[in-house]
Amino acid sequence: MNGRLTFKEVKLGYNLPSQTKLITQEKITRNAEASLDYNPIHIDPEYCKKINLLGKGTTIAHGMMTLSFMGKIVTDWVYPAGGRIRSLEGKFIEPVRPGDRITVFAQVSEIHPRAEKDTSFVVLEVWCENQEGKKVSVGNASAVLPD
Amino acid sequence: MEREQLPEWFEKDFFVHEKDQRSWDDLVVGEEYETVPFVLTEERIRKYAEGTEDFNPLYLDGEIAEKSQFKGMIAPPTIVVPIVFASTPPNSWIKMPGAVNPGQKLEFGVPARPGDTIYCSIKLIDKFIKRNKKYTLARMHITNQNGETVCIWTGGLILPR
Repeated sequence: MNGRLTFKEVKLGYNLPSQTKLITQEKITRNAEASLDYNPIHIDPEYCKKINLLGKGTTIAHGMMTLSFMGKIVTDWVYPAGGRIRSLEGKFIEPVRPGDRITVFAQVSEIHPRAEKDTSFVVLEVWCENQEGKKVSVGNASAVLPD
Repeated sequence: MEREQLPEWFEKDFFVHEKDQRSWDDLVVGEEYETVPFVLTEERIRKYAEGTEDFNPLYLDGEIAEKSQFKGMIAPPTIVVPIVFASTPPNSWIKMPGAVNPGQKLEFGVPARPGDTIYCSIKLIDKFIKRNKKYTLARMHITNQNGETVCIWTGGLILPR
C-alpha cells in the first residue's frame, strides 16, 4: 500500500481539506427519515413558528447531522489510509437552519504515539462555520492511523 | 437483502406519545431505560448515507469494502443515531417534541455492520439546570450480537418541560 498516509507523516497543525454543505429543509427532512429522529423541531415549520423555536421560529437541522459532517471530514481522511475513527464529540453552539451553508474544518491538534502496532492516534479539533463565518459547532475527534 | 423491521410501537409523529413522556422534574438520575434490539440492514445504512450525504464506498460497495482494513462493509460511525431512535420506545424523553441537542460524545469500538443485531443499554447519569435550561445527560452502551462495544455515547438534551 505505497503512497498511503501513515501516522509518522502527520504534522501537528495540519488542516484537512474543508468540506461545505448547503442545508435545505428537504435535506433536513431526508435526514429525519434516515436517522429516525422525527422531532418536530426539525420537520414541522408550523410548530417551530408557534413555539418561536430558539427566537427565530424556524426549523433547525439535527445536531447529529452536523456531527455526521464532523465525522465525515475525519473518515474521508483516515479510511483511505487504512485507519479508523475512535471518538467524535461536538457541541452545537448555534442553530443550523434551512438556507445555511455549513463548512466543516479539522486540524490536527495532538499526536499520540503508541508502541503497539497500528494503535497510534491523532486528535483533531473539528468545527463548523456558517456562511457568515460564525462557528455553529465545536468539537474534536480522534483517529488511529497505521504506522 | 434483508428488510428492515422497526418495532411495532415505532411512531414518526412524536406528538402522539407526548403525554406519556415524563418531564425533566420526574426523571431520576441512575434510572435505566428499556430498549429493543435492532437489526441493522444495508437498506438503513444506504438511507443514512443519503441523509447525511456521506457516500463512502466502505458503507455502500461490498467489493471495495472487502479489500479495505475492515474486510467487509461497515456502517458510518454516527449510524448509532437511527439505532437509538429505533430501539427507544416513544414515551422516552429522547423523543420529546421541542427537545434541543446541545452536544454529544461518541467513543467507538468495533464498527457496526449490515446484519448486526445491535443492543442499547441507556442510563440517565445526570440532570442539571444551566442557564435556566433543563438538561439531561445519558450514557448509552451500544453493543453487537457478539457482545462487542460498538459505541459508548454520552450526551443528553435540553428538555422543554
